Amino acid sequence: MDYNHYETNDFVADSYFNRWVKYPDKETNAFWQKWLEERPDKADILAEARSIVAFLNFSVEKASLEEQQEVKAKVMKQLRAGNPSGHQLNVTQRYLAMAATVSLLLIGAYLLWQFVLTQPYQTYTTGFGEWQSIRLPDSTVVKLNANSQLKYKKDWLAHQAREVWLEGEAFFEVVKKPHASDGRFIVHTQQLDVEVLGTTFNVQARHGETQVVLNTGKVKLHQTDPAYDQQDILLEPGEMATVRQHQLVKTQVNPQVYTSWKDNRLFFENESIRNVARRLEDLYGYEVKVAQPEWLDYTFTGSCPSDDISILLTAISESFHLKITLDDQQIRIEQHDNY
Amino acid sequence: MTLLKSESQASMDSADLPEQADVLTWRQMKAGSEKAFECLYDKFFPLLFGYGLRFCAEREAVKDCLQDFFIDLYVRRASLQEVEYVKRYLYTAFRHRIIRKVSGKQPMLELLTSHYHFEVTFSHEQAMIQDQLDGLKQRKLLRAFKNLSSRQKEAVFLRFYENMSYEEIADIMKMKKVKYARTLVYRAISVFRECIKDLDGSLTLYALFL
Repeated sequence: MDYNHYETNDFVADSYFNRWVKYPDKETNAFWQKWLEERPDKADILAEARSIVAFLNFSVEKASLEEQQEVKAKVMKQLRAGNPSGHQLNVTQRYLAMAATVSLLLIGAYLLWQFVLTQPYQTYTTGFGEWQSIRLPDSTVVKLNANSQLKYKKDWLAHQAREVWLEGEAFFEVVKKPHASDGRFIVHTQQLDVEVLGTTFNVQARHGETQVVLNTGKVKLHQTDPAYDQQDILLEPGEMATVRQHQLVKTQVNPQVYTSWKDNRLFFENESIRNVARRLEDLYGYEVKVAQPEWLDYTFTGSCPSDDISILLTAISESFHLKITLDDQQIRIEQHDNY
Repeated sequence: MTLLKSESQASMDSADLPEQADVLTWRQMKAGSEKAFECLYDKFFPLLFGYGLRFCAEREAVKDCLQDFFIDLYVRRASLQEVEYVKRYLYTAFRHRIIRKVSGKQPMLELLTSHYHFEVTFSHEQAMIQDQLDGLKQRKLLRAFKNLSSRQKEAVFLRFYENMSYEEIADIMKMKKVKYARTLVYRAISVFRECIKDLDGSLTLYALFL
């Protein structure tokens, strides 16, 4: 223990110092004597600390041995009599207790039921490595990717715009409603509202970034933050819009790459290992560990069935001569032993 | 110096070995051993009695409370958790019980965190035998101590009388973080220090090795 930077308060709180003040012995005396010889400048501080510790000398009344035995006898007697609580309930009290339990259960059940009924949203959630196909009340089909959540209001009204809220990623096949008074279909994400009229498109909202890829039809985008919603952005098929930190960027992409997951395939085209790893983390919950940071920039093209990523890992391993191991939690990318 | 190392990280009295023994006894009690239960009783009754008197000055009431506490412990032994630190568990559970007993039916959470009484006495209160502090200083320190909150008093008591580590204190006093226990103790020490400083007492080296 280095006491050189100790101040009064630290000494007072220190256990070894306390031991010396309260129960000095040869060892502690020798230690502190020697320490003081080395640091004579600390003598005042030590003296001050000492008087505080000496003051904190509490006196606590002890139980007499008789008292201890007397209570123990009572305890053991009750335990052996098999009447441990010491105050048994009479019959009326027992019925009352039972009645109270039953009423509590009933009230609990009722409250739970009310809660379920009054929940305004229907919610669907997928875990890591889980996919779900959802048919909305208007027959629109939504495929929910892994680790995602979709919800909509339960009182889905035919004459109003259809609205859903998304965290994660989903692919939409929106049914056209040309005759409805408001035929719009709106996907809300944290940063972006995607407004459509009958079309197929993919939305991904993760890590503070929202990405929309349009396969067919037309969609209109609004940033949810009114300060940045200068104008509506229209997407054409084959275009991808990405919003990150309020910046909206449009690029041309191959929609198949972004939407292949809905057909149970993972597809990567000139994708960096960084993005592949992130995808695996998002969808399957693996933690990806890469031994050399520069490998993250390698680019990879390939695909695999979404329920068997070992094929993908083998492909990456062979393309770059890396050793990849997979267990329940982790994917580790390391140098091959024989390299 | 090797002693210092192990001691500084754990509690003040290097309690590792007895603690392990307690855990074994605890397991045996859970398995139904009456003998183990008696061991725990014999060891912890005196400790908890002294602690309980801080919350409630009536000996008989503290004894009653301990009686119920130990009966309950044995009756519920099977459903008790496996514990890593028996002492901590017993202090926490008993504290809970005695505070409730003393204060009737007030909401528990508030009670455990602030609305309770905690009183201590000093050995020099009865006999003014003091080797280093003159009467005036002594009285000032006493007054300062009495003015601390119950919570501060308790933390100081657990640290300086029970020799507990900050972890133990935080656990027993239901603090969210260990550092709060340290802060509580350090603040109290600062108050005491101010008391001493005010007086122009010349503290000299001779006092150190009496």
